[in-house]
Amino acid sequence: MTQRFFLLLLSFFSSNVFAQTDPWQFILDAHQACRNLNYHGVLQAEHLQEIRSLEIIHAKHGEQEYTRINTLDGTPSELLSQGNATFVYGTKQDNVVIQKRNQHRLFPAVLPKSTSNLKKVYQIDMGKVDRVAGRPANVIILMPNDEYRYFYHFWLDKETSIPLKMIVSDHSNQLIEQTSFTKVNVNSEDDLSWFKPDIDLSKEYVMHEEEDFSANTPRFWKMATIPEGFEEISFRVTRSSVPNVLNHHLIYSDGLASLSLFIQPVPKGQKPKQGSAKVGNTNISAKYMKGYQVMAVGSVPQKTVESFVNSVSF
Amino acid sequence: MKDKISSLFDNEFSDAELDNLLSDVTKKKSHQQSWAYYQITRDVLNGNYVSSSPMTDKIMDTIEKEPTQMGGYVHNSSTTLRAELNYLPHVFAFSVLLLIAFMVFQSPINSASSNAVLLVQDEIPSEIMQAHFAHTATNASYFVQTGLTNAQ
Repeated sequence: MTQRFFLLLLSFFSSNVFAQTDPWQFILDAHQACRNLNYHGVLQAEHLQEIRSLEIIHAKHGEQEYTRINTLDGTPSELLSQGNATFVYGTKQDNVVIQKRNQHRLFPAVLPKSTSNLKKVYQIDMGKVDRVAGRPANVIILMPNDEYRYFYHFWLDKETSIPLKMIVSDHSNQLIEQTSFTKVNVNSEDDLSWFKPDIDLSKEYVMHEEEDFSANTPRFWKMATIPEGFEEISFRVTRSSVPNVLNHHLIYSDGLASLSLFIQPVPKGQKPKQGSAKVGNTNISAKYMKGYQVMAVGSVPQKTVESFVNSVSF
Repeated sequence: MKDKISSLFDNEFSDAELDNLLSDVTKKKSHQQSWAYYQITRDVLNGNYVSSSPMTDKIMDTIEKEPTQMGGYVHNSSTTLRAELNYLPHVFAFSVLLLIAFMVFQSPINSASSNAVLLVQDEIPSEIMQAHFAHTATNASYFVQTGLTNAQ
């Protein structure tokens, strides 16, 4: 009897310890922390060989999330997001252009709310405790099971679980993308006075909205098998800059990696493109079929964009 | 004063306070600027912002200069049915036009299949790259600074 009780006690403690150190739980905690906590910080983002500093303020007020991000380097631009409504203010010549965006998945809120899809295509591992922006952090590494996606490294704040740093690297351990807080404060202030655009009254404010025709547009193409884990998360149909041409834009994601697939009729006089190219760390693959230009773009391996382009048929 | 104007847009004022505020706003230029600032902020956040471009002003001027037609048309019940039926050919023609327009949008414009050229970095359409980053970027710097190429 004593032996049985001892075994039961041991199994309880071992399962409890495992639950606390399950690395997938860190991903879920990080997702919740980014949505529910109030934080204010400065971060540095590197992409396409450029490093920019940004200021971010996030607050949860009632059931709504409020975010303001403004660039600290170069041309002034900012983002204001309330729930699902996101507005971007960008300076262009003497105007401030206001654009409405449907969604955003910006650092630090880059981790998905469910890990079920990630578990199919990534292995997870924990590194040694590190220090970022003056705060101790748990290191989590997501390693792909195949060659269709990159490695993701996250430094999660030990106290709050907020991602403090993210590095994306390829299979040769080359840096693809890096974003990191240099300073962050987590607070419980119930103040939203910061949630307003920095209006410059000397400039003209122009609203730039793209009409989406996706609700009335049939899908005239077929998709064969795509790499495992990728799911369609968005479909938009917009007017191209060429008259009478509609641009079909599909977005696929596995929860971390994402890519765009464009299907567009080739206007008269324009030569369609075929083959693959690279801009910075973004891969592009193009194919011409039955009068349509099919193009896949993404911060994913070349193999992935080629696979998506080849999966389209008419 | 800025706090007062901000409170006004948050509906935190009584009628008496509102009268005082409005008389103050009209006196000082800096108050008028704050007034404009909070109006823009509120309209943008509510998704109701409409810019007052010089083109809009010109259109409004032109409309104001147009002569106004006074009085309405006399309703004649005996001609109503015929008038309604007269619309039918127009409705039919409009439907055919809509169908043609839809087919034009859906059908490829360039049907030649042998003239495709090799994709090179410098010739990747910028609107494709902009649309991609504007909807998928995890880097906020890219997200906020992209998508302006096609904006007016």
